[in-house]
Amino acid sequence: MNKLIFTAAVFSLLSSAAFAADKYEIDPQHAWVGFKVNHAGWSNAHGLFQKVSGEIEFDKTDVTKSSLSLDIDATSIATNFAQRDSDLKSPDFLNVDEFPTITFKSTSVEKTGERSGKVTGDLTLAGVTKPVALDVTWNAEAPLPWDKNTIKTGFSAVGSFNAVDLFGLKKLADYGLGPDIKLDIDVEAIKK
Amino acid sequence: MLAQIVLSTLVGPMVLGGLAYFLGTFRAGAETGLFAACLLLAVMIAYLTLEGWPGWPPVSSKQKLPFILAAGAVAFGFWSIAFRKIGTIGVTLLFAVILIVPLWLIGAHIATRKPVELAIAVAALVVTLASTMLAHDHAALPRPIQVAQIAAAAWALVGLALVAAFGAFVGMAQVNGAAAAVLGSTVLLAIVASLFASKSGQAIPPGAVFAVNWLFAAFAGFTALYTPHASGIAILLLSLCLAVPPVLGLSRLKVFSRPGIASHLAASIAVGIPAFAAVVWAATAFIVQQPAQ
Repeated sequence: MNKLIFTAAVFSLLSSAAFAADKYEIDPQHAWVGFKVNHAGWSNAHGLFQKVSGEIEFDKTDVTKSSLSLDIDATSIATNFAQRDSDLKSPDFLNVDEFPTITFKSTSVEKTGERSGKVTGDLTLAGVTKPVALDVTWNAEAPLPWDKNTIKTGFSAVGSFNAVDLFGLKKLADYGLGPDIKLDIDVEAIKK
Repeated sequence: MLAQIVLSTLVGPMVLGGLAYFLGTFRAGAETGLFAACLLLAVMIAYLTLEGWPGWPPVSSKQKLPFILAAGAVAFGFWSIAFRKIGTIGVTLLFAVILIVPLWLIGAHIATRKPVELAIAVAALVVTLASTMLAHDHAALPRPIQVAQIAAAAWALVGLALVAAFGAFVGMAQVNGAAAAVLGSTVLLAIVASLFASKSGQAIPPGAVFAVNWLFAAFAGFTALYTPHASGIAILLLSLCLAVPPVLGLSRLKVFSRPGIASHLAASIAVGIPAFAAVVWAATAFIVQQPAQ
């Protein structure tokens, strides 16, 4: 009887381990959270957040059980012009003194293709939290060439949201920017 | 876009300032707080025109500002009652508390991260308190200096607008500029009115000086704490504008105390000298900080 219970317990542990979501930590040196915003119809202004961290739980057998948590240092915004970066850090836009971190926490994941899915989550920007959806593609997973014990996986994601209506960034409209912000994200993550 | 900015930052607030002057003074006389309340409400309307209605509850300090202005309008609306009943020491303590409240509401949660900026805001507040109480015997001052007390706050807010603009906070530059426009138009109307008024009357109700100095301290605190590259020295220089009218009053120089237009202009321009110095300082700091192109 004891043997039977022990066998069942071991089998249960092995099977849950085999199907559990893998945990990954985002590699901050290989994470690019970029954005584009229309500039008065002339062009799309580009920007990047230089400090990003977060965790991913990726269940390859059932992606709907996956999750994503992303922390972006709002003070690390870079748009290729220092004065504009300072403007964007002010309370007119990101308000980094009061809200130094932009966060995204997934609330649902939907499979849309062989290697793609839609991740919906709560984006908190300048103190306001609203749902935003990202179209995510899983690119690859492989060990590092110089360290077979370190497994790295990589994702690309795009998304768009109205920053004026959803997040109250009224000054964007005043200065002919937006109102939509298009996200262009690439992250690599290390398996834990 | 430029026309829209001029309309919302300059023309609209000047009209609001004119309305505040007429509503606050045409009937009530110099002893009530109506003028002070009208001025702060005019600034609040100018703020809402520029920034839109804030959500409730406000999520950021910027969204707290219109509510702070509304609360200030109520407080200074009843200021003359307090002034009559609690004496100079009581008024000083009460004014100190009312000065601290906005700074507490907008800055307490970031104070540990921005100690230098907080120190500048507190220093501006102390100068404001000292300057206001130095001239608290408002009725004893010559009319040009009474009007110059409002002009001093207007100049200080003009300077604060430029400090915010140089420091990469354009929204607050507009708000400070709009507040200066509200006060500026009341100064012009007060000068005109005092030229035709009887010799015994006051040019500006005394509670209004407390209200506009409080307004400056609140906006100076917000500008110091939240402008990404605010010049602290410039903000301190701007607060000195408020100290000039009592000093001119104590000097008893005739050039600032005659009833004519020349004394009004001399006094209302003299109080702007620290603001001019502050703007030069802030502009220089801005130019020096720019990376070589």
